[in-house]
Amino acid sequence: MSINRLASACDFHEVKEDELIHVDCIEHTYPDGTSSLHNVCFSLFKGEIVAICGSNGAGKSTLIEHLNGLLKPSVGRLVVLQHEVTQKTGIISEVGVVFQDADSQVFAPTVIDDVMFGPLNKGLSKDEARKAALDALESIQAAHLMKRIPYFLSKGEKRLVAIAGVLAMDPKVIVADEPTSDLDPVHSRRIESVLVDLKTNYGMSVVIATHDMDLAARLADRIYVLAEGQVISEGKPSDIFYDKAILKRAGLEQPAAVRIYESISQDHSLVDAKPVKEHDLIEILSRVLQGARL
Amino acid sequence: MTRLGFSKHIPDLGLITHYSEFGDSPVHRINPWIKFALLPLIIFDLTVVSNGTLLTFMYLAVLIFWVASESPVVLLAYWYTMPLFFVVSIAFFLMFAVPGAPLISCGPLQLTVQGLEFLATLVLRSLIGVTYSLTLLMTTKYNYITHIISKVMPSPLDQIALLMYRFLFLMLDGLASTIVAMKSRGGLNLSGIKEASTFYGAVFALAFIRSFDRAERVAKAMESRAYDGKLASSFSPPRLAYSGYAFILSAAFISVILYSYGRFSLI
Repeated sequence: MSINRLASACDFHEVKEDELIHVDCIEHTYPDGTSSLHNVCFSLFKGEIVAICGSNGAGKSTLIEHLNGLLKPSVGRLVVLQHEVTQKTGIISEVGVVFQDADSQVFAPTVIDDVMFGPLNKGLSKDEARKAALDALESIQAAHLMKRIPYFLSKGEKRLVAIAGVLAMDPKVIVADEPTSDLDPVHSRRIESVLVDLKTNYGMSVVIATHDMDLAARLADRIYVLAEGQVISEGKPSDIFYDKAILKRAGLEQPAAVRIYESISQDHSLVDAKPVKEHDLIEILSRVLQGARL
Repeated sequence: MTRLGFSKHIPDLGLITHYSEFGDSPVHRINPWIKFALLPLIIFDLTVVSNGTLLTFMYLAVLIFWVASESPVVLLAYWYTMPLFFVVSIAFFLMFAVPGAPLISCGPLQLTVQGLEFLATLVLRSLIGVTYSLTLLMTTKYNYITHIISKVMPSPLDQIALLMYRFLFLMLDGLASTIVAMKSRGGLNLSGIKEASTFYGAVFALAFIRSFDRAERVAKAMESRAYDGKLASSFSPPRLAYSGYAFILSAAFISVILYSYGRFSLI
């Protein structure tokens, strides 16, 4: 169900048992006085992928930096793994952030050194850190990159190394800012499958910030729509992506599958479904075509 | 290919890392502590020595060191461009102020033999420093560098030095990308000294500003992976053998001799 939140007043809510991240009414103002987040509430539950969608400058990256404790809210409450966060120590290992600019995130001379950076900072010994790094690289099928020099990697490979660097710290939550921006379709799909794999095989929760609605449609179990620093809607993809007014307000477009479905269903009677993913749409159209042949 | 590869006059970060991490020359096998200890000694020597012949020998010695490290000599010549540009642009005007036997006179300006010697020694000094520093970077793993710096410098100076080291790389990266961006829009005009100065001035200013922005992002990425102001060193270099200590002491002794002679203007 879609909830319109016009954020006039904001109340703190009770933290649910299976909630990994709980954000209540946070505000953030930059030193120059620019308000980037206003009364933002956010929840992440165990084993789900949540997409934070919004156009450029909507506040997605700022929100993400709060989830990891890199930024401190001016007002509001952040609860991570049932503990209210007052300082960043502790949550950095639990909530790993993969930044949009992998060039800046991957800075060590070799891939293995870079992936070991987090575990070493956590206080692991050299051998433990190396094992954690190798496990992380293997979990995303990137172990072959371990001896490579990051500067010679492609953007997609760098993004994989950045993810491995975060995974090596054994977090409960992965937060990825525009995880597939600037990538070709093949590398985009690879990153997508890694994120889905983290959820299905490792039981991790994933947050992605994106303005790519097709990506959000393919991956997300739940969507938050941000506009001008406020959450203007939250709900299931099938509700959000069929709400044109909300998307327009956020400066976003419907995913391709939704646009095609709506366009076809104007002229033909289709089953009353709300497909958001390409393969859901293909399934519906196949059934319709089969029915027509019969 | 890194963006650095586009400009051969700027030290290539990727290439330096490649040589330092995977090289296996005789210089790579020298204990990193020895190579590190030689750096301040060499800087000290080239500061106290003003004799042109001795400086030439020192330069040839570090050049042989570079060749022995199996690093590309042609590339070194390209990488000399920047330091030479800076040294010559400053020393060129100063050399006219050096008194001595005049070679050419033009009004109040006089070019003397001593003035030319002054320029030559400054160039040699800068080349010795640059060549040895680059050899050190090309033959020493980054982890060894971090370990040694964290051992020889007190905190937080060690962290500042290490982050400056990374910042230098970021700046070089920014410099290369700025040159590419300017070249791609026809902004590269090196037809004369004035044009070259203007071009490099603009490039450095832009690169410096961009590097700060980039450094902030790197710092944020480091913080997000539990960096708390202490760079964890993952690999320590091999311990220094007695012969290594003896070598360093010998080099220090030579430096003392050079300094002593230098004080009496014999060299």
